[in-house]
Amino acid sequence: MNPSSVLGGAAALAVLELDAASIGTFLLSRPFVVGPLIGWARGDAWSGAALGAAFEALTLAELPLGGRLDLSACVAAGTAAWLGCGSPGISLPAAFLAGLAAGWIQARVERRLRGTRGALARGAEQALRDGRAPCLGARLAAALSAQAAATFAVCAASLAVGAAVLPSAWAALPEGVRVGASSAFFAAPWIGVGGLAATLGRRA
Amino acid sequence: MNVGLRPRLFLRSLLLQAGFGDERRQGLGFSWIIDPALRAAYRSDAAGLRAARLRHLEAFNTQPCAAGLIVGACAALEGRAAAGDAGAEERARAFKNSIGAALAGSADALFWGALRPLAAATAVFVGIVLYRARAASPLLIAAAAGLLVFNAPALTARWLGVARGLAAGDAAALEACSLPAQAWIRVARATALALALAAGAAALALPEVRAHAALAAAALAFGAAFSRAAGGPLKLVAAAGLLGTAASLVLGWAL
Repeated sequence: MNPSSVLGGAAALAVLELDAASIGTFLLSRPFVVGPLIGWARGDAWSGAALGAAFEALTLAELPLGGRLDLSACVAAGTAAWLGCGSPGISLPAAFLAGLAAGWIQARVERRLRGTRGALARGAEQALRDGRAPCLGARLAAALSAQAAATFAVCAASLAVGAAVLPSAWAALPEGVRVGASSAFFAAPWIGVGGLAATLGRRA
Repeated sequence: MNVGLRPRLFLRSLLLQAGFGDERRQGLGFSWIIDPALRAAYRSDAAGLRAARLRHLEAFNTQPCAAGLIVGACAALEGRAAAGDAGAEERARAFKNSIGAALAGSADALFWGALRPLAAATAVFVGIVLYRARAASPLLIAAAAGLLVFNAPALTARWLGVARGLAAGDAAALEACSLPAQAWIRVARATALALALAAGAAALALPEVRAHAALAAAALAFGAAFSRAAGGPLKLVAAAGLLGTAASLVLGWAL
């Protein structure tokens, strides 16, 4: 494991993840972009694209209404692509499961952050009542910095632990569990597309 | 109105959700977006500026691509309020709350529920077709195609929304309501559905997938039949993993 590669991957994902809700949204944080991009950076764009397609299909029907957040698609796809592409001993199904775990953790961290941001607006209100400048830009910058720092921490931890543990842990798993994980990875994009097609067909 | 205001409001509107929180939702972002308009309108009225800033720090929520119109209209109404229109201040507050929710309904359906799936389906379909055609840089072209499908209408809606809001104030809401949004949504959803199914069919023909075509078709049917009841595809993927494990243990099956 190369620490600079881990930190570089985590930094790239922390920046890309801001597009998911905070800046834009331009869809640069969607798995169909993040998967091939991280895969390309790791030397295997097609494996990254396969992982990106799986996460894209799984999360596409989920509408981010009212700030709903079940799984961070960006962190899930990016972590999986980083681990699954160019890491010896980590298969794509193993990387897929690690990505799911990282995306799940990131969603919980972000929910916590959203719960704390009311203080930023209240602070601006108090400043105005006290006759001071509300410093709105600085408060938004603080929110963005905290978001990027939290994503960086989740991704760096996920990549470091995944790269260190996955090869031996995966090899130690019973064959049946590995087959199950491979089945889940293979079925994921098809199940996602089936669900999406049914949703779109019903709505159309 | 300040000539540089429109691009400033447009660019700032891209950070509407930068301070998204459970308590005020997009309120902090909205107050930062509209601040240049408030400072221009109340440049010689410090008390008015402070009151306006406090008004726009209140809780607010809408679909981000629809926010441009609300920002522009509120900026226009605040300009009128600063110029002495007694009712404009209250109209800005009422407009923001009512139209924010109303526009979010259609805009969520259009941008999240139709154009986002269309963008992803376009990217995957283009990627697979170019891969099969052995074209150069298929992934780059595929991602660019997907991004274009979403961002062209999304950025246009933001830019024109700010412009129409600034020009027409709260009357811009009527113009927005007269747009054939439901027809656009139907067309985008139908196209996304067709492209998703075409991408699936093209993927089934890939040598890497062909050997397991029956399994892929079964997973697709499984997803179509049960995703809604399961509350999304994740539980179904977990079920597929458990089925695979059981098949391996009982039948010695391997993928």
